[in-house]
Amino acid sequence: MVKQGHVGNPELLATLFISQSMLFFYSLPTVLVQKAATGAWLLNVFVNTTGILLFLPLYFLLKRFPGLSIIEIAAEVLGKVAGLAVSATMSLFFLYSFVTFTRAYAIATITTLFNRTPVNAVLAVTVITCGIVAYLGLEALTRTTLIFVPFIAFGSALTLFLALEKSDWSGVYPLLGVPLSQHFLAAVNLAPIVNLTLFIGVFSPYLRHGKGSLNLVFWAIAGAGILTTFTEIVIEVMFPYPGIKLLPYPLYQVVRMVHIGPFLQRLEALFVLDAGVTSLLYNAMYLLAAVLAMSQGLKLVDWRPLIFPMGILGFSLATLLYSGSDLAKWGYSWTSSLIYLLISSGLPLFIYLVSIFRGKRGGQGGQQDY
Amino acid sequence: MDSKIIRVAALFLLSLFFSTGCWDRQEVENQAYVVAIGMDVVPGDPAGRIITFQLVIPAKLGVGGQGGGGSGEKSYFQTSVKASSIYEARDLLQASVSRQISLLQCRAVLFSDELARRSILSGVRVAERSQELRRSLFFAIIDGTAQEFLQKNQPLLNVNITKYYEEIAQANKYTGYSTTSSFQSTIEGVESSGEAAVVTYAGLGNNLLDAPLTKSETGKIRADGSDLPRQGGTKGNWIGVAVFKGDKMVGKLDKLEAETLNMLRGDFESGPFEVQDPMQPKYLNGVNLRQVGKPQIRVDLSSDPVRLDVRMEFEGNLMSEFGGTDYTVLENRDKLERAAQKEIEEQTAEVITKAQELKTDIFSFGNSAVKKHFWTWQEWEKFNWPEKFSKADIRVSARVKIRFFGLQNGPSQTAH
Repeated sequence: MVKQGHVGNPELLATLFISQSMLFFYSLPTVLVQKAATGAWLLNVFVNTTGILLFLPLYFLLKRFPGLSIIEIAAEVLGKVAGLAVSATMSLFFLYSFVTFTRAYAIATITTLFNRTPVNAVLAVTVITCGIVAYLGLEALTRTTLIFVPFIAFGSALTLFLALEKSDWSGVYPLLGVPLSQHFLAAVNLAPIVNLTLFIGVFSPYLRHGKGSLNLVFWAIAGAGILTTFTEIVIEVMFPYPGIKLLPYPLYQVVRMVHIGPFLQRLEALFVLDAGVTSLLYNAMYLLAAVLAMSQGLKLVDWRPLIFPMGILGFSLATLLYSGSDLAKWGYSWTSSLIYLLISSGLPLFIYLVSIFRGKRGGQGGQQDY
Repeated sequence: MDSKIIRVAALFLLSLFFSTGCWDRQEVENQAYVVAIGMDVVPGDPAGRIITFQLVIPAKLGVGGQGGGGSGEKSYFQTSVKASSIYEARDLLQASVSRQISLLQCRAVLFSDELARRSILSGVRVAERSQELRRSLFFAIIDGTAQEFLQKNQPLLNVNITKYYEEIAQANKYTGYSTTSSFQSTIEGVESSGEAAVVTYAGLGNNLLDAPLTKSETGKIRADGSDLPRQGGTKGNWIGVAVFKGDKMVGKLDKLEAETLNMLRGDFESGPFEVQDPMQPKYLNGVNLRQVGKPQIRVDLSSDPVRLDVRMEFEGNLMSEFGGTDYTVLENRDKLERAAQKEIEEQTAEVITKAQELKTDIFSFGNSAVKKHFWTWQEWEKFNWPEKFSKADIRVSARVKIRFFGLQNGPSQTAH
């Protein structure tokens, strides 16, 4: 098995919190508004509820094979070749996520802050930073996340509460925004993209508390769902519809509107720090997941030799992408949604059903003795 | 060699890449900061604009005296450029300014009345995308040209011109005679079907003590930024409100109407209100009113036209009376309260009629009350509130309670 440190429940919770709420730093609030108008806050509730349902196949699969990753399970259930194919698919999927989010981060950085900095420079710094974090391993990554989460949470909460001073609560009316049927349709479209829990399938062998940790995922999605819904409401009452649907980074605009007094007029520094650290941790997690998925398939003991080629590949692919709006349109399209759905829920469901059909079941939790 | 040393050395070498400079480096001493922008039309050129930039002179900030230096030197200067947009004007201005011109510290954008009547989109379209300009930017409409206003309006109390604009943007909270308008509030009004934009109105109405006064029926002075009867001090008057329909200015409100507008929007915190003395009608009593909560609005969508019942509550502090009536006596106080209520109701009826004639919901009734009765945005848009507003039956009732009487209970014993 690929050697890694071990992830305790607090670290797992922090990592899930980061992954579930990260999209709110970018264009997700606007996408919700574009689909549900003033009912964006409600759509977010539906999206997170659907996200919990979409995690179920992976949850049941990992419960059935405690201590194994989805790739190891695939090899055991489907055979070695199929296991390798699953490994490659998962690795490419995580690399794809890493590439798109790294590019999105670079575009956001340039759009909001460093207007003259070449996009490749930001990409290079991001990839190098993520590479270093991935080199240090899962335990270092999740522990770092645990350290930063309180600061990120405090910074976000501070800006949101300060923003409420200029709120106009008529911004959430009409309450539904669009008919419920459109809500459900949009929830199905967005939930696979927003539900970012597949990495648990790769990290599962390293969970210190084994199967017990998996239940945390539901709490993490629900908790992040409540927080992001609150954030969406704040954004809606700050920038009433329809103006809000044109803002690429609404949370950043919220921060720019906060005015505390002459002594502290600008909170962007705090926000940029929060968003930057969150994005780097998030991207590093995806690079590490891509590397680990491939390592597990190839049954490598040491994952680190794969970081450099994966990083170079990720950087090269990220340079090919064009504008931020194109990226967002593609990212939240039905095609993208289908890809996410097939890999994050369809693949675990398929392996789970085959395991039932073949009567295969895992042993005891691999890491519970740590 | 120890692998740890190699790793540290590699990280050290890597860090050298980041120390070679930064594309976005901005040295403060190399920046020329714009604090206000004025926008005017070019006669005979529909797309042309005269853009005036007011820039600070950092070396003269904090010296003291009139607008900057003790010797009368200003801590800022302005320069105007003919261009089609703010950004083009900035680039053209760079030809005469040695430092890099930055809009990061810009606090105000002023539009001439004439430009605003055509459209304010030429300013909005720049501000909405700008990384430098903020949505909290102060917006105002100027009687006459913005260029002349910026030239002649020299703040006397503030050494720092930036501070002046920050304070002026919030000054409405002391009186309610204008509005607190920002880029965000303006663009909300432009984009929304539930309310129209209202923007601070200003002008160079100075040396007007000899001009004839315009008064209401009860004798209250009616004035806006262009005709405030005042002399001396800073030349600019920030009083009154410019009324918009979509992106175009369609009218303006004087101080009385602006005060009423704020009451109906629920933006009137507290401020002076003059009430005709019910016992001695030739006098105006000064009452400081405080609005208690937001207006309560009951909407009846089933009636044709749509009916709105607006209820407002105020608490008052009697600041001055001249008729010699003791208003601490319950019976007299009731009369004064009823008089105040009547005046508020009459003023609001007048302003509502004016807005309905202009077909623009400046009170935000659509957003704050009517919109809540719909479940979806499509239903709300189909309802076509802007059309309904102009015909709506809007009734306002006010409740005023005079609770405080200053530091003297009764009237002076000798005056009358």
